[in-house]
Amino acid sequence: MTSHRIAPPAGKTINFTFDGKSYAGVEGDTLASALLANGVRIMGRSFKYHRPRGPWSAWVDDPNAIMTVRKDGIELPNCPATTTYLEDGMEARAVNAWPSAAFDIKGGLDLFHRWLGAGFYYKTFMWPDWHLFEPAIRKMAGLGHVTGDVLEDYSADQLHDRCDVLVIGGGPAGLTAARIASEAGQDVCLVEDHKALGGGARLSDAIEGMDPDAWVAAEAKAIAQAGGRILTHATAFGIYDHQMVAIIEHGPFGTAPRLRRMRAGRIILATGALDRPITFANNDRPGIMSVTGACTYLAQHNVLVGRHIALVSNNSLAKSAEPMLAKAGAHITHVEPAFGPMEALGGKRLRGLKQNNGTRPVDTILASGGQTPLIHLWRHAGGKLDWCDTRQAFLPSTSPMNMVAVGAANGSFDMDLALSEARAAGRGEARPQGSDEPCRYHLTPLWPSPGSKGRQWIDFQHDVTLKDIELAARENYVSVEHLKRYTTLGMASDQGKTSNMAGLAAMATLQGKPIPEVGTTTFRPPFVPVPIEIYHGHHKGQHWHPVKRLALETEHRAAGAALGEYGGWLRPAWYGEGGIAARVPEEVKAARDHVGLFDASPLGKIEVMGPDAEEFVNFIYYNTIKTLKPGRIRYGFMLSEGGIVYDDGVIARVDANRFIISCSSSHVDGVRTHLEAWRQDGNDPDRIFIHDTTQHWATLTVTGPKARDVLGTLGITAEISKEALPHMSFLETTWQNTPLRIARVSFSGDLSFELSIRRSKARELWQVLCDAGASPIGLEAMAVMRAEKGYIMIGKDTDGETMPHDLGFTIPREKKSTAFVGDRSLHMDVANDPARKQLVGLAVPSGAPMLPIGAHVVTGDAKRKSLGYVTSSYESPTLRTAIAIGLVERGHARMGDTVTVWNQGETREAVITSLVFFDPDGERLHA
Amino acid sequence: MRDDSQRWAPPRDRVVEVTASGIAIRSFDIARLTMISGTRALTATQLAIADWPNTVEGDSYAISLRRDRILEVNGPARPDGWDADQNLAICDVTDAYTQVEITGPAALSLLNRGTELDPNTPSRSAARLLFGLGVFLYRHGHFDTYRIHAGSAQDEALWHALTDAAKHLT
Repeated sequence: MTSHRIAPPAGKTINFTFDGKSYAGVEGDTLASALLANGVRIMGRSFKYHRPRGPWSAWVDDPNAIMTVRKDGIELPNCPATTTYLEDGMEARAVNAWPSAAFDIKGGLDLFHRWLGAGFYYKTFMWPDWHLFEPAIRKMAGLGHVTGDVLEDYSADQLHDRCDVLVIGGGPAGLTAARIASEAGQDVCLVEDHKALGGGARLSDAIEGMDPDAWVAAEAKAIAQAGGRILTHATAFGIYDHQMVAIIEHGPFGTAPRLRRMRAGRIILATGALDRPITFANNDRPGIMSVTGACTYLAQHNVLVGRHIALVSNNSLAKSAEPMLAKAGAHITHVEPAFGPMEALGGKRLRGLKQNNGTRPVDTILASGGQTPLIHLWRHAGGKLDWCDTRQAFLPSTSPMNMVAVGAANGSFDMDLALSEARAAGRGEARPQGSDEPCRYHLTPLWPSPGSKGRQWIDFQHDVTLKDIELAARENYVSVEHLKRYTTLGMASDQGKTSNMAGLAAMATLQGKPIPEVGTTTFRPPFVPVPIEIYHGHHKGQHWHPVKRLALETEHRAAGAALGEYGGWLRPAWYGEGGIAARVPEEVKAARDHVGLFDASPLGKIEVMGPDAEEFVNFIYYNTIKTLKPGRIRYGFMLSEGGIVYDDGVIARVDANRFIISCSSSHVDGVRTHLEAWRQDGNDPDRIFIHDTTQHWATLTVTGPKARDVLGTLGITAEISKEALPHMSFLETTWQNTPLRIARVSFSGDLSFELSIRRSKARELWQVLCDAGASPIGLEAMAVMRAEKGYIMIGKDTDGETMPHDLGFTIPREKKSTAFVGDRSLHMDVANDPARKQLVGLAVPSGAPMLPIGAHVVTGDAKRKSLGYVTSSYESPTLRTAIAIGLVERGHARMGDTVTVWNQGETREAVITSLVFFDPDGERLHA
Repeated sequence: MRDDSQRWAPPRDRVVEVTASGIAIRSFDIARLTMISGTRALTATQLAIADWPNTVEGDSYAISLRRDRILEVNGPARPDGWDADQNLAICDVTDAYTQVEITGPAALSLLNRGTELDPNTPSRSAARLLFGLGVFLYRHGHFDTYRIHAGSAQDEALWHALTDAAKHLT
């Protein structure tokens, strides 16, 4: 075996399989380290060419070893082998290979690479139609497959937290900063994404004169003793407004991770740096790894990744890795990349490294093209970057508020410098960002060389090669953002951690510009892939956007209600068996012939009180309200400032200083906010107060010719005769010693009473009304009845341009003398356009089917220009014909005209009529 | 329109209390809730006023909602409407809210699942968003006992949010 474990495993043995073969690892292993310990190198296939791949690194920057893992019946796709800790019984499979990563049937695709370069899809599948190819290509796209299994109890915990100082990264710099800050009495939280603290500490011989393990343990102990918190196996993956840091905390495999939203007073970024790959021919072969990755496998897992190793590096840090690797038994050959073009030899098994005319027979190539600080979170927070020529890297410069970067994340690759920065940050000292201290770390610039021979990989997972970058440049995709999208550079699951620097450096060379002038792509959260589950947690299924529930839901269910969501409330659509087509006509008939009982509880009950209440509602409403007498009700519109109808409803006046607004059921929250906004804008908020009491009340509408008889059984003393309680009036009384409001308003067009009683008494009232003979009717029956009468539903029969005069309400616009919301807009040119769409009735010949909702009224010529559309359409059980309402250009002037109605290729005829199909004289309404 | 009745679990069947690790969650009723608004609302009540993070005691108290609004809990009976003498707007809102009490050492941790709650950051208002629901939240009787008032139509939503979150307490 090339890669192997150099010392007998110390921990518990863990059994697992990979691509169907059984292996053993030890506790603390990742899938990748355990496979390397077993001599397995090929752990995946690249996305496009299905090239065999081994891990490039040992942690989040690996783009190659991606696996579907199953354990105890739970299967999760796209688990990075380098960050997935090994558990007993795991069954892992490479995601983009069949039957196995070692023998992938699609491996032959690589032979066609000349025809599959960047932009291949865009150029090839355009003719005759992209949609012909799309299904097959979509099937091939992406990595991994989500199973149809539902994971029971896979629900992410979400919690909010806060601390004075959040230290991100548990390496030497992070530990030092956290210790200093916690010992200074700060509430400190340290986040480390590995299970074990230490980061790069174990790559050093000693820290502050101590053995690295002992030093890490001592620092952790000191932090804990000072009251600091340490979160391990937790990754800070995003920084949002006001220092909100999103942290994902992992548990055992198969359990949903936790999302911790940490509000941090100060943030110390100690996230370290990554090795950059070197771009040379066949640099993607299994066995070519980062120097840091190889050292990490050795230091953390006792795994030596090769026996005969070529160490290819342009920097001092990587070269210092030699003693550690040699001590473990590897034969190291230094290769200076500047001496000439290189080419890796071999396929699945690496045979050597060729440079100029010489070949070094090695089984492993460790590469480091320099250190790239991990500044993703810095950029999430809005921190600036500066290019450092010495380090050939972007380093943090202007700091986001209350944030500091230390250690390798700040370009301080020397341990003593990193610790010194960390101490200062822990003490809260301000320092200029970006390390300009002299450092021992040095390197020779080394970037891709466009025009050089061989296939040289820039983005390993997505198979973006140097030639693809050259092609993109030739085709003028020179902006890095365009380059990224054209080639998919940096769009792999590592999100460019390995590829972005090489890609933009190649583009800089191709354009003859310095690297900083080319710039970087945008860094966006999440820093590492996270399950969507953590974003919704509890908020899913019926809890995603919970509906408001009626006090009478249990009664409705018992009565066989079909419930549906209407404007945020769960409401009865109809009652009983047979479906909407059978039940709605029955319910309409019951209400028209006898009496119906409708749960109207969601209707708004917003009280406006105060000495300026009258002026305020007169200002809020399009209609004149100040002339409304106590005990009376008026129908009216609220408009937006643009003069558009926002809500309709009735307003009741209780007394001189008190009004009750009954706005549309789905608009209550919006209307309350609308009222509060105007209360505080242009009005005296100390003289107007708005109480939304909607949910205190249940409202039951008793409607039909026998409605008064039903009310008569309640035994209330108040007079409800036609004379004492005429249409559009209300009274307050009591029933069973409970306040009861009776409003004589109607949405059905028949004699109706809206009874409002406190929610806790709704059941008794409902039962008494049912016992008195009222039949429950649902919202669908009410919708039919209101359309028969020509009553509108805002948002259904109006659109974002409808003004009140389009609905036939013209008088306030012409005559109202006081200011009101939307007034000015009703006199603009657009409001006076004679071609405005106006709401009209649309009648069809007797026996004809109903017009489809959304069907267009069109000109009769061949062009069929739209003149408007059908907004509501029903079969009227009362009139025994189909009825419809629509918005039609110049509709009011076209009364009696026959118009063409077009829908999905079919044309029909309809006659423009009045909106009122039923009881046009209002005899039933005023009964 | 389709029948979506099955998408929503029926209202829970009179479950009023659950206990989990370190907490008890209890639904309870209140005899009277009165909303009072006015420029002098905060001084218009004789009752102790709950805001954040102070702990209010007893059965009768008032909750500060904003600089011109309180909610009296079990306060004196007051007629609805505009009180022209005291310049106060008054409404009985007893049934407009549902109440839940959470008590125990893990109560704050539970609430932090649904809102960003810091006992060291005072507020004159008990109004908050908890699990996306507009609520009034304050301490009652003991520093780890919290009372929540949410819209009564959101009783199910609040209950399930709290009991689901409680499953994550360890």
